[in-house]
Amino acid sequence: MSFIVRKSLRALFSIVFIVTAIFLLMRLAGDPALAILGPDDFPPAVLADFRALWGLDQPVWRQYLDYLANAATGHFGRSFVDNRPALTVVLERLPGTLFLMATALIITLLIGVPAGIIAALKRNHPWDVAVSGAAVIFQATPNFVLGIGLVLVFSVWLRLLPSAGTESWQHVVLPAITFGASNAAIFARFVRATLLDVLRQPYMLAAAARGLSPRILLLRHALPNAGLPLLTILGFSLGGMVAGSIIVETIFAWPGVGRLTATSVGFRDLAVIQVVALFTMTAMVLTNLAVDLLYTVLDPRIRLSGGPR
Amino acid sequence: MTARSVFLQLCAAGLAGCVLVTLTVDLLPLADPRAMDLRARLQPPLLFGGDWAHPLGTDELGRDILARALHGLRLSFALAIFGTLAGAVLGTVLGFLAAHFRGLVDDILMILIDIQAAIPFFLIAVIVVAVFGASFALFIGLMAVYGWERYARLARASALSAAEQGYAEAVRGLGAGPVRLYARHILPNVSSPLIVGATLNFPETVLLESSMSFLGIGVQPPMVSLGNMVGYGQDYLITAWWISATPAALIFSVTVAMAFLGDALRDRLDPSHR
Repeated sequence: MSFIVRKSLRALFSIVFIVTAIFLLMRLAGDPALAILGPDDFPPAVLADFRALWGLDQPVWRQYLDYLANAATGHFGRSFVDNRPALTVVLERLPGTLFLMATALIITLLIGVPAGIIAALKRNHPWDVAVSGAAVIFQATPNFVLGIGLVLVFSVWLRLLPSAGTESWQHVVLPAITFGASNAAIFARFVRATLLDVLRQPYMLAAAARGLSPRILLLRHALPNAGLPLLTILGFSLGGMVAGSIIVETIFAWPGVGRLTATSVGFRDLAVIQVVALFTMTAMVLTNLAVDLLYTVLDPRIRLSGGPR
Repeated sequence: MTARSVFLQLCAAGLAGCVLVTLTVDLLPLADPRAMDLRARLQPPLLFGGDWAHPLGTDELGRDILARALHGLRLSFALAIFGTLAGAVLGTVLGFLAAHFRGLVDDILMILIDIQAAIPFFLIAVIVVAVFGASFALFIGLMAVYGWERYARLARASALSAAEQGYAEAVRGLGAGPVRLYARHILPNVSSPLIVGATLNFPETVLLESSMSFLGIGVQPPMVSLGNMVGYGQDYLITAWWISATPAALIFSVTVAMAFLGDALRDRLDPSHR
């Protein structure tokens, strides 16, 4: 029980820290009135009005409290590019990114995990060499290099698949592969390593000595034990996917949060960037918390001993 | 000799060749990477109908791709070496501070490490660039901070266990101050895991640099980086694929070779991985 409380408090602290850090970062950037309106385009009276409107003439602690209150009620300011609420701008791009993430997760679970299992079971066999080698290559290749390579081969050279847009299922293939490949590679390597570790444990020897078939050994004893650590890496891979989406969506002109982030950086659309930052970072902290809590449900060792560390 | 070790030696030889080329790039008979020649725009590489004047072709402004790729490789290596060293120094100092003061300092640092570890640095870098605007100084600063949390965790743990040992006690008893104790005695004793960590971190620093440059928020023109070559060449994928493909192939070869070598290094240091 104390484990859950401790983890939750830590997550709460992290979120407060992130929100505060983003507030300070935005203030460090200089006077938001100048950043948003530009010093040359507006007379001083307009700038003063703007500051009064957004409470920028108040002391910093007052601004911070207002900021927290606004964030809590879903007011994040307006996009500097088209003057719509920043929250709306981000939310309408969210489905595109979630869709890509889902395809990447499917590729990971359908290709990465089985490949890792095969590599572990056929250790040092050509299968293992092939899987492990491919995993190193796909994990090491930067997203943008893989994406450009796929476009060159499949769009420019073979003319099989489109390189940008969202009109049909063919448009999904290249971004999904680019997005999913490194994740699948990470999972394949991780599954192989943990499964090899589990296969070495004394309880596997004991189970084999009881005369269980290799099939039962694998399905009932090895995989459940090897599967648990996968949760941790699933939590971390969300962060990798958010970072990757910025690159992949930019290459394939995919209308998601990642491409919105990249274009907003270009325009220095701080309101939108702030919403993206708050949401993604909070999502990562909460995902890690959910993983920790799931652990306590799935692994009695943690529940009973009061948690790792 | 097994096929695996032959392959690893090829990787090492290729990387050594890259390092040698980047060290001597000014001495090589290459074109000026910034010299434009609008009469020789979009020339294909040698095997695809080009000529010896530009063995790997030219870009949309008639600049020599071979010269640009090698200069880009040099800048990428230089930035990654700087970023790795700076991150190691920063992280180690913070880790030692936490180990020395313990208590509240240690708690705060550990929480910061956890937060940093949970959020990809690339995302933070993108946000920081959005707030302050892209500049080379900011980019250098971000490269320097990258990876600090791993070194900090490592240095803190090593320093905590080293401080328990007799030699630390003896040095303290002889009247050495904390700076001398950590810099002259504890650091040499805990340096090997830090050096290994830095070696394994180097490819990721290359990745951060090239990804940011690809997005146009890292190395800015007229400076050449492999990442920004791929990024600006993207508009010419159909008409002049070599502008993007050449630097992309170079990044691919270098990162994959480093990954295989890093893997072998990890296997050697930690036999339980095998």
